[in-house]
Amino acid sequence: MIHKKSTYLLAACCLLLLSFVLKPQEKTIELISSEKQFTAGESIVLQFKTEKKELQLVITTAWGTQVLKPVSHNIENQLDFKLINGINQTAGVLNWTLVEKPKVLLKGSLTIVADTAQVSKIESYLGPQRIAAGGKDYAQLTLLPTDLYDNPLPNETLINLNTAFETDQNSQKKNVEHFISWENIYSTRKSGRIFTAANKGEVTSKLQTIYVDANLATPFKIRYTRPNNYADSDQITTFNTDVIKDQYSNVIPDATLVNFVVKTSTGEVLQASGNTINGSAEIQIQHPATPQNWKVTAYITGIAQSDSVSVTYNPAITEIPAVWDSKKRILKVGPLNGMLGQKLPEGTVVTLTVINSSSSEKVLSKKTESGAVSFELKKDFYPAGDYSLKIEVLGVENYLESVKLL
Amino acid sequence: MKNQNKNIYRGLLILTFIGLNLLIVSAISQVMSYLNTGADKSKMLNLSLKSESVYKPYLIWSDTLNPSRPLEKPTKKRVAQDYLNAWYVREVALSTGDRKGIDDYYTQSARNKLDTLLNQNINVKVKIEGTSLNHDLQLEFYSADGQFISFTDNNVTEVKRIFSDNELILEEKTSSSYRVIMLLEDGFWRIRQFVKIKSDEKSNTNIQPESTHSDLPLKGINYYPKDTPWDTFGEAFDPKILKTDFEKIHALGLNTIRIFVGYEDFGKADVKPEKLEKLKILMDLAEAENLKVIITLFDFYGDYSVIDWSNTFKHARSIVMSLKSHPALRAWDLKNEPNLDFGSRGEKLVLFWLKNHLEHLKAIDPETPVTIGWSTIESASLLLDQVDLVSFHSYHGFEKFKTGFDDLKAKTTKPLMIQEFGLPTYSGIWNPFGPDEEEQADFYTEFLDFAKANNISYALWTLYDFEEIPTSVVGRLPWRKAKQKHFGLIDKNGKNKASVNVIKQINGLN
Repeated sequence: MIHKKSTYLLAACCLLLLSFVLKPQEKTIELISSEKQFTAGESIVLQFKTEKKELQLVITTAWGTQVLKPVSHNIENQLDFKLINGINQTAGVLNWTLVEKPKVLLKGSLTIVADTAQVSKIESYLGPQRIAAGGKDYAQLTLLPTDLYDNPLPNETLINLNTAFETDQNSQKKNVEHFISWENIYSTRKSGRIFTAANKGEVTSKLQTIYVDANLATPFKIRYTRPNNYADSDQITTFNTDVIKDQYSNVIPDATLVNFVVKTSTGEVLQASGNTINGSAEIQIQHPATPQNWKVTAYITGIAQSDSVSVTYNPAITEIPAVWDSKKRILKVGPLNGMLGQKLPEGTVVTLTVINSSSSEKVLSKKTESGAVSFELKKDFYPAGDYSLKIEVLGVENYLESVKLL
Repeated sequence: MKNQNKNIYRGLLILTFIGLNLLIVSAISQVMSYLNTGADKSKMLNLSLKSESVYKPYLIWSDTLNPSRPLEKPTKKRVAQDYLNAWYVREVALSTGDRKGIDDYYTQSARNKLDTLLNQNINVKVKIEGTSLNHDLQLEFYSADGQFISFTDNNVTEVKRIFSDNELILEEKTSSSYRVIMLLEDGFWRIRQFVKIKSDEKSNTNIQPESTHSDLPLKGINYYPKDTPWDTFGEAFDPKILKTDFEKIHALGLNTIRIFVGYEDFGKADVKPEKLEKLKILMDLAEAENLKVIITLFDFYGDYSVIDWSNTFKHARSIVMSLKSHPALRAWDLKNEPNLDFGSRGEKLVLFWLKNHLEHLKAIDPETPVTIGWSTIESASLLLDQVDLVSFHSYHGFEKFKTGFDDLKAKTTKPLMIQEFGLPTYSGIWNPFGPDEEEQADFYTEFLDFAKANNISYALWTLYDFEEIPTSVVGRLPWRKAKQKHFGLIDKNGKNKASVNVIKQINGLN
């Protein structure tokens, strides 16, 4: 009997103790699943020990907030929330809040890290694409590697970066820092193309091309060619630059504008411009109509200039035969012959200046036909008296003094 | 007769002709103007896009050092603006499902992630009203060609109200940090990567200085100028008037005034400097008369919706930051009678708003006491823990006030303030047997004796009888307006009412 009583007592005590132990457990809600870090794509289940059924889990990631309902199952006193549909694929900190509306029961956070085993893309951004030779200018390559779910990779992930210029190839390892990895690729002394691409295992970025253009042009020389050296207003002189190069002997890019400036002995300034092809620019200028000295300089504005070249144009004729017929009042000029005895080209301008006794001038001009031209000084315009006549052809002059008009 | 008929016909014919022509001309012009509508070529490159920003969280670039390229001022501004726009369009999408603008501020791959999330929320009928309140950007990398930028956004305070099936399930204020990568694509800076990172924990344990209440109890009055009630800082603002009024208040033996800063009047999120200047002048004048000032913020504000918080925070910040060290400032009254908005805006939302805005005031100005001007003594027991001074209004008889007061007193040890009370001396068409001056004097005697005995702060309503009451104050009903016009201690002819002597007497003058 006593035995039995003590058993009851013991049982009662046990029950009492148990109730103390159990009671707080009924109320507290615990997170059973202990894992705090997951890899993107891995299935994430948050298990809570609770008797309550009507709970919701509020999930907040960088992109926004979602609300989950528990998954149904048969385990007593436990609620499972399954993080699926992209929630488990977004790397970063994930905050969760267990809510029994409108009361917050439990809060916590977990971290999802990118799946470095499944790198699937390396985005590369390059700029600028064209740089100047010489090793000071550079293009910057920025790499953004991501995993299968477009998550950026953690710090210290290694990426291979390969660059190639002609036959030189260069490979280096770069660390990802703050999601990206970047490198300044400096220009070579020689112009040409640098190719660059990054890879991590099998995954490669796009092949990027950096164009290394010649640096600034250095001073250059010009020369000229001409069929003859006469100021005949007919032939053409061609001016050329030699191949213009930068300080590293790279030929400057095609279509660089070169301005040729001509200063004539009479103070005029003529200008013509040409674009370079294979480093050389060319212009053509018609010969002057009077004997002249030219000083020619070429400029690449603000960058480089050539030395000055001096060009002399000689008279195209030596004498101007002229016959004055005082009866008919006609002046016959011609035949006008060039240095080789040839007739001057049709249309060469002949200028006649008629000066009367009181030194007032009248200028008439005509173009040659078959090397000759004639002027009629009509009575109505030129009353009788003493005149002097000045004939000018291609910068050469001939004076007829004291011509009497009847 | 025949001739007259002919003329009439002629006239009619001409008129019809003119009318027909007018019709044709207007039709042609309609067609022309229709054909001229459409996209403008100048907008092709998104360069001339100008939008008024509606989302104005507090944003600073706390660090722009980076190893690559110096961040130019215009880019700094443009990146910040586009980044905030990205936040805004996302908050709108999460709350309404409207995805307008998402295309402009997120790159294709980022959009995919956002779309998945938005679709899921639509499917399970989840909607989130949220906003961010501050952004602290630290540049990490800005590429040499200026097309790629990476920065962290640290300790962003976000406020969210989460609804599931149109039922509010959670209200929260959180702080998180993000690392962001943006790309410049056709004129927009677009988010390419957006990852929540661990915040470097700021210690929030710094002890906030206790607000001092050395000058209690406050003996005050609610103040509007006589001719411009509810428009203290309007066109008619005149320091001379204020000065004489403050002298009068000082002469009554009072030491505090309570004034009102209209949310829209002061320019909403972008506080107008000229209004602030007027407010400062008022404070200086009050200081000269030894009066303390309780500034009531957010007057006539009634939105409360979460997406608008960035604006209200900015508004509060501008005003508080420029006045917090003013010697005349006595307390911030966050909002006048917010409990009247419980019906139309929802009690929960209004309380959530008040709680967070109080925290904000405390955060930017820990030293000035804060209060809320509850319209009833019963409401004053709300948010007791958050305020430094418990304020309430009482326009009922003393007995009713006394019961409510005892209840409130039992709940808190914080100083109390009867922030508005008064009795209109109006008897006329709308209320033939309304109280007279004597009754008003008795009303004040009773209240002020009680206040003095119990060391309670107070502010009377108000100094003057007003001639015009704006409709926005008490509505259009003439009997309400009539009543509101006669609360003053001084009538519209400038004559002191009997109450003036009562007040002077209680304050130990005369």
